[in-house]
Amino acid sequence: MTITLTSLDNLEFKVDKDVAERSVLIKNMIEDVGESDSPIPLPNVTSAVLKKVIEYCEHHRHDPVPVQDESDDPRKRSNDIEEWDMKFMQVDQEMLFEIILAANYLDIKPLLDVGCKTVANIIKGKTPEEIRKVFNIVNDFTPEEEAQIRKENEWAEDR
Amino acid sequence: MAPLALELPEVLRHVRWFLSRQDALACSLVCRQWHAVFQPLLWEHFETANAISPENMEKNALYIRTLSLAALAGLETPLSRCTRLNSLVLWPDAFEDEYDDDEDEDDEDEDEKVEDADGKGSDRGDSILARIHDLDTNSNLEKSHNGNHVGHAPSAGIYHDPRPSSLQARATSVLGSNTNSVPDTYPSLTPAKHQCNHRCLECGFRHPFPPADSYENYSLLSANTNEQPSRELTRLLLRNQNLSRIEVYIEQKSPSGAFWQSLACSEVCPRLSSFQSLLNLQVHRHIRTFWRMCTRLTSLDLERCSLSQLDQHEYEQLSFPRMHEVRLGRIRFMSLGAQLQVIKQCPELRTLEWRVPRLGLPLEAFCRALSTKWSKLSTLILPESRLSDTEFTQILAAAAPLSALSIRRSEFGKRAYESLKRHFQTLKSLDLCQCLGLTSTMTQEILSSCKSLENFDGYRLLVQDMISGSAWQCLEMKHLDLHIVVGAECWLHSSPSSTNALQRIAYRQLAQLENLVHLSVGCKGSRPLTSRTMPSMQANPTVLATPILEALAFVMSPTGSLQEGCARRGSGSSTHSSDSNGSNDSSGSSGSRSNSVDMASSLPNVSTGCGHCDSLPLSCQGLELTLKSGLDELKTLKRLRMVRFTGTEQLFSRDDIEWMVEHWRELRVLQGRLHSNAEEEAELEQLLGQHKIAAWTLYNEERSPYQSYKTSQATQA
Repeated sequence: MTITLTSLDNLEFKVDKDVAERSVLIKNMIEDVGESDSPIPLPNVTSAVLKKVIEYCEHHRHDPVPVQDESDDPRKRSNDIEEWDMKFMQVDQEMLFEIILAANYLDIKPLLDVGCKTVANIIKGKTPEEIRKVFNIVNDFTPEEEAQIRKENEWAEDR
Repeated sequence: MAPLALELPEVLRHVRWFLSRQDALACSLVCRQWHAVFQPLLWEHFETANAISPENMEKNALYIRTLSLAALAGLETPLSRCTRLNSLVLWPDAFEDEYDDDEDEDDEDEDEKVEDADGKGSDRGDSILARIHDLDTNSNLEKSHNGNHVGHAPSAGIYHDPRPSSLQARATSVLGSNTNSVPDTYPSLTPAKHQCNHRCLECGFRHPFPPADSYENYSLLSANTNEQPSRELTRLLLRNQNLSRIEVYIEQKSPSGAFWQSLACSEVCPRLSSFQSLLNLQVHRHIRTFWRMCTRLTSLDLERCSLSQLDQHEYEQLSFPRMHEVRLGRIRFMSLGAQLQVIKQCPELRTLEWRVPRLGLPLEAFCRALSTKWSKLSTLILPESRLSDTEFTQILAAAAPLSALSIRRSEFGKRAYESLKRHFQTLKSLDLCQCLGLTSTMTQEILSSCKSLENFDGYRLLVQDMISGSAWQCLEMKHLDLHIVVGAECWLHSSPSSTNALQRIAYRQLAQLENLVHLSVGCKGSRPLTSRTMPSMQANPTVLATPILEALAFVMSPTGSLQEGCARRGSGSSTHSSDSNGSNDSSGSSGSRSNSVDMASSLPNVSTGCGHCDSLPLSCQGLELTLKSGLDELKTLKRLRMVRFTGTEQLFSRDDIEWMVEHWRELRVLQGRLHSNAEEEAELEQLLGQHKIAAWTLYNEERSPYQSYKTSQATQA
């Protein structure tokens, strides 16, 4: 069974049901609406991003569905990204964040994980100034505030 | 402009999961918005052992959710700000000393019921809390400098009314004036506002007022507070309403009565659910209060503790309606019968881990409890238990269908196995590590019957059984740990190519386990026989059975020993496989082999009856994880992260490693010797390193006799 998804810019994408259901949001919508040919509108997602998201879902269509009750133990999380996913994520920053937003909105946890891991890998090992540069963030701290925070958090260094 | 995604707190929080503490530290300095998200996360788990100034801790105390408290000294102010703890880990110096008056509280002759359903009915509980409350108000009074003894006078006449509403009314009327809300110094702390709802220290706490006789103590308390042992810990407990978990590490000191009594009171830490102590906790004087605390819990974990024993009828009066998980390790002074008595009072029990030493288990009572008391029990762990096969039979027959069972290194055997069959449909996790009574046939049957099995730690599995048995049903398997061997009979009588063919077929069984994450096919090094021990007969005589001696003698006979050996085997006595490779000796002349001495030394493990004599340990050849043995059948194991083959002798080639890298994309660790030649091994390690796969080669067994045989074959060829 195919589902039609409509992007923000009104482009239609036909996908198989099992691929579309990688998104919990879409899955719930389908369950609520029942069997219907009408397209599902996704006004928060542009076509370029939706295309990428669908590509991800198609590649991972046979993955086991992430279980809800898995404990969020940080020690169990790995920062490793599969090779295919790594290549998939080699996009410009803007697209990276669009994908994260879309994964967040569409509730596709594995894709959100991959996106956030990618961001985490960018952040790794950088100083605050470097992080700001990479993401174009303005520093709104006064020097005194910064010093104060550093002092407070001293204990967390070297860990 | 900053990307929108990174302005969403939930996205940042999600990113934080994948960051180290160092990186989170850097992130909290990036900008105010990031600070708002990362600062609380950074402070979530905090240990006072960090040399941190009290001021800094105070400022961020509200973020702390897990506090590891090494000492109380000097931390009164920051601790007064810790009000949102979920979890508290207490080290020896965090505990208060006993007050003298605590002795009155825990008079062993107390007639009072141990059980206390709502924590309000007991005089003892109330008065100790009142005392604590007294301390609070005392400190408040001091702070507010009004020397307000009047504050207590009205209460003198209001003695001990257990109704909560009246208490509340009185609390606000007397202490309301002392209310001061916590200043909101954390503008960025948006979601979690400090809840000042008459529960924090400053506002006063809902508790019964001190009874009249506390006036005596009040005079003590109003005296110079420097002389008093600190009640900091108790105060900390009182002000953390979300506290659900307490871990205690304490030696040479017992927690004070006030500590136990606070925890026993249901108004203190209403969410308390989990208590753990793994080291030398001693509870003697306050043992009844301790059990009263336990009646509130869902999880109790005690190891190496000393608990005074009470009379049976006292245990029978206890009730643990919420207890789901009980773990009891070495408990001194409390008999197994008494422990069972306690566990029996847990109708909602789901998980039981109980260290039951050799003697003293009331087996009948235990089995009765298994079948009548614990209908929801799904996990049973009996570590280091020396129970017999028959005892296990009864236990497994009595228990409701389990989903997890662990009885490692036990005498589990044929009869217990029959009882185990009841649990086949429900078992997800089975740990029979080094249970010598677990035969290869049983193992094969388990794998082909237990559909839900995800974790299996067994003993030995023969390739012959893998091949001749039914298809494995355990397709959800994630962790598999078995010493898979090609039985001696196989490799001694077959050419290498047919051994490889056998292995390939075996691999096909393994290949079905597409969810496998961890595969271990090595042995765990419990008593393997080596060629060095056998000829000299130094092996433990209780381990070596007569068949071995006979077979060896046979082999050593100076007459046409090879023929006799084969004939004997042919006669069907399958326990005596005094085999040799004589029948297809394409290499080496049988002439030289007929020399009995050579035979003995070049034929290791001649007689241990391989797959047929299951009770004897083997050191047969393990699986060869090479392409020519059929490794490529395992390309379906896409989720494999770790492969262990310690105790086997592998001779990997570059091709093999490259195949692994190519097909097992998630692989992170290989454990075991990669090659007998150190140089080649180093090369392979390097190759693995390039692909970020760790090779743990240091842990290994002695060289197996097969390897000596193989190299001697190679040199003779």
